[in-house]
Amino acid sequence: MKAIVLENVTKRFKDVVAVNNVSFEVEQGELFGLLGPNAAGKTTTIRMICGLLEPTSGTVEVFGYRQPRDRVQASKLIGYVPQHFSLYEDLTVYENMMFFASVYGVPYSVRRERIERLLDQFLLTEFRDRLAGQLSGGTKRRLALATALVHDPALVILDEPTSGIDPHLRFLFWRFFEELRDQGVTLLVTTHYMDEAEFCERLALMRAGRIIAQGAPRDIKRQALRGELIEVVVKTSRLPVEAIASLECVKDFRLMERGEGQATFVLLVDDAQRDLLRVLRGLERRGVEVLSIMPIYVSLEDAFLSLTGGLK
Amino acid sequence: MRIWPIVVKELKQLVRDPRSLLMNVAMPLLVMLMFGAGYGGHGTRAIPVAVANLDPQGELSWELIDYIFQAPGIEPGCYVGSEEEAVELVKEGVVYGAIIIPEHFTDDIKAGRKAYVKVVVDAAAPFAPTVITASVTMALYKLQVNIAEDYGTVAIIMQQETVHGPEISTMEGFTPITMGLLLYLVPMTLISLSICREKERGTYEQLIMAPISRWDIIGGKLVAYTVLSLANMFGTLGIAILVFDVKVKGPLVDLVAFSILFLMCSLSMGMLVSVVSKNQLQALGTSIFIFIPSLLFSGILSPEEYISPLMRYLVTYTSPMYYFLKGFRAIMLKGYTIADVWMECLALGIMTVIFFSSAIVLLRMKLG
Repeated sequence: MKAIVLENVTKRFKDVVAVNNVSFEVEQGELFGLLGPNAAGKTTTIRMICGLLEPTSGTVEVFGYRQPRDRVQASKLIGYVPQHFSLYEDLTVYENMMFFASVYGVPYSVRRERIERLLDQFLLTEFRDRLAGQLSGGTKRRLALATALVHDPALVILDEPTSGIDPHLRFLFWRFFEELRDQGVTLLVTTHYMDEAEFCERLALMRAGRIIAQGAPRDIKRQALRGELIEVVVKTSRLPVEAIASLECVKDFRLMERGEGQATFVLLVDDAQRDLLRVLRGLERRGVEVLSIMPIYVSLEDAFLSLTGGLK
Repeated sequence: MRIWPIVVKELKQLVRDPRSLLMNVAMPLLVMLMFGAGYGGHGTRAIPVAVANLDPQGELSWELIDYIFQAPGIEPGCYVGSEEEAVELVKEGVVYGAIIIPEHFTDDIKAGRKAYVKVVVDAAAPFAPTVITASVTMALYKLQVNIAEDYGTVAIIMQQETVHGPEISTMEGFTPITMGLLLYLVPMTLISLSICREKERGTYEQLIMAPISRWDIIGGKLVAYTVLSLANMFGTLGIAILVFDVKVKGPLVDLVAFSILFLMCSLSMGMLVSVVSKNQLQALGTSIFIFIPSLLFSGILSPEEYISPLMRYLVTYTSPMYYFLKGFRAIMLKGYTIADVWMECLALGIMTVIFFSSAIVLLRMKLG
């Protein structure tokens, strides 16, 4: 059984289509990222997964439970951290966690112990009797995550958990997520930070309510560029254009720079690692002297911009 | 002067929330219209009084009755044949008072003897004693002036008696109203903010994610606010009884039970307001808008008979406050038990059930 299945999900608010025919699946135990700029439809999508919004059309299932019809059963399996702090500011850290533990029906015998463990895990022990409203932004985020875990959910959904917090804490959060994943928890994280998304096993890239690419980060980059890139510096007095063009694995290439007796080309291939050696051998066989050759690292940001045609 | 930027900003913000603006502009107009519809016009609105004319053959007794009912504000509810019957009707609350003209009334006057008129008023009914005695006094004066030519100056004495009396202090008379206001406005306003506050602060999203039902949310909040309001109720009632020596003629337990029923009714109503309001400002506006008409038309300003039939059926009989005042006065001032005010209990009970179940049905367990 999949953790999350979305099939042709559309959500319309009056005349605005917030989510447009979106389909994706999240496997159990996966760290899945929903990536996209602001107003891409990420929050609407996860609210539908949480059963807080009803799709205009299409189906949403969480561990086989249809949302929002089976909201009550599904919610026991979901730990949800909304984008904005939504715990009770006039209750203490401990009281908030205790409240949610009891509304989620956590057996009395394990409540205290679990809360203590989570307080410890998320470095909240020193704040336990502090009112939630008095905490700093970063501490509030940790409390929100800890509270979402009090009922030991199989799926944790986090909406922009790292927006507006410092890099140190961002890094810490991703460590938390990986830790949870290693414990067998499925995670769905939305973010608009492209660099963070590299931590995810699989991603869905959203823009203007649609999914424009999905898969592992590497697959998405490959999808975006229709392949991967290799940079070759060759020693030459004459440009080896024909030699490169005749290489079977090269789909496209471009001269990037021409210096004294050497030239830099970028080649588009299907799989940079696999084709690196082929290119090297092929060029040498054709009498081209290769000074250096290496795969080019493409960031998700590059991929995203390429997929969406830049900042248009 | 940096005052202008603030002025402009405030005005812009006010206009940006059309629903609240409409409510705050339209509300006073609507209230005024309701007030006019309830008390305006030239209708003959009066409280009923029983008349026992034991001198039916004498012409002066009928003259007096004519004068009495020339005054606005009272009307003959029924004519009965004996003093006992008339007093019984007052005790039962069918009429607010009784006017008894004794035998030989006309003869006494004609003979130049002292004449008597007996007025029995329901002391527990606000306004009634004043209105009735004023009307009778005025009528006696007119009669005396009129007969002076024929029979000379004759003393006609008004004997006053009360039912549920002898007298009710101002404090006692106002206690039902004060309790009504406190048990209506305060709990309703408090609870009307409770769900809107969660929506405004964003905690509602997290709350409805939990595997709980509408029952849990509405019921849980209601119980909590009931506990708080009970403390409020015992406090106010306690001060009235212990500090200001207000007498409760009926059983205190019944008075408390009846007040709790009313409390549940106002809380359920506030809950419903909270469920249908989008934000705290709207909830507050709606609460006030519900409160003002019940202040105007629940028998606080005037006897219910002075309200036009339209507004009586539209507002008075649909307002929990009306039934509370009636029942509370009956238990406290007349010494009734809760069983005697079962009609008022039933009305409050039905309203509570309607408000409570509407709140549950209308509560949205989704966003947007």
